[in-house]
Amino acid sequence: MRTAVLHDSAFCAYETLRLFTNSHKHDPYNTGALASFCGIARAQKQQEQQEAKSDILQSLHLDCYPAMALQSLEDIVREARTRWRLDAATIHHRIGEVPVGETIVLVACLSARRNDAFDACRYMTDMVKVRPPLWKREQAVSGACAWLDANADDTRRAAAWQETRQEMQEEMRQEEMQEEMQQETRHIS
Amino acid sequence: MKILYFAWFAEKLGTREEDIDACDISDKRLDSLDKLVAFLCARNEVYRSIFAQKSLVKCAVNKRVVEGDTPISPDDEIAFFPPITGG
Repeated sequence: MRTAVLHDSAFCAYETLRLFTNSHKHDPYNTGALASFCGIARAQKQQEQQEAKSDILQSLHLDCYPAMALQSLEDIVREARTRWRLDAATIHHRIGEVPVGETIVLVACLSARRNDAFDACRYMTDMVKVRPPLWKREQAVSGACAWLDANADDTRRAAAWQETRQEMQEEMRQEEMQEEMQQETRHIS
Repeated sequence: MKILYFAWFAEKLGTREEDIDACDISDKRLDSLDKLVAFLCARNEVYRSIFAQKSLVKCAVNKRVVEGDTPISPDDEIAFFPPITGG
């Protein structure tokens, strides 16, 4: 089963989630948490001036480099699975024309405990916002359309995970060093 | 060599994909990204306007993002695109 899927037409987040959960019932003894995030196309423009509220969106167009996007989404799932204890994880992403109100992305993971599930779900969602080769064009009801720029807030969030990782690695190194020192001490004594 | 364009690059150029054949490559020795960009820019103003602002041009060779000049070969798939705006 693929861990990442691109959909070029509408897909039902609930049905996808049901299938994902059902297909991973192999370990009911262990799996105790399902966390998911579903992103929906909304009518508000990303860089909207409050006074221009009349010009709402009709749809989003997501241009995509499919082969590379799949690879990138699968990388994100793989990373999440090495960072947290997960039983399964998946990312489903819509591409092409997405009318307002429809699902753009579904991220889900199964784990023994809620913390791993929540953190991994958040990590994958933050990465999906910046890494796969996808480009959004807003299509307004008025007919106006515009390609979006990268969102600085999304970039910051993704970078913060990198820092967390470095902190985690540093902590692990410190713990290893302490352990080694303790072992040496034991050896001497 | 397969060249792909995405988002507003594709819109501006009016194409998403093109093949540059081996003749072009051996004549012009397109063995690096910088040489390929120079070759494309020599074509017309549209290409030049796309590649004018280096910080807005991202590139992937065989589906891996690369930074700066990189060696390329005739079998490579080269993609040019604006900064990724994500899902």
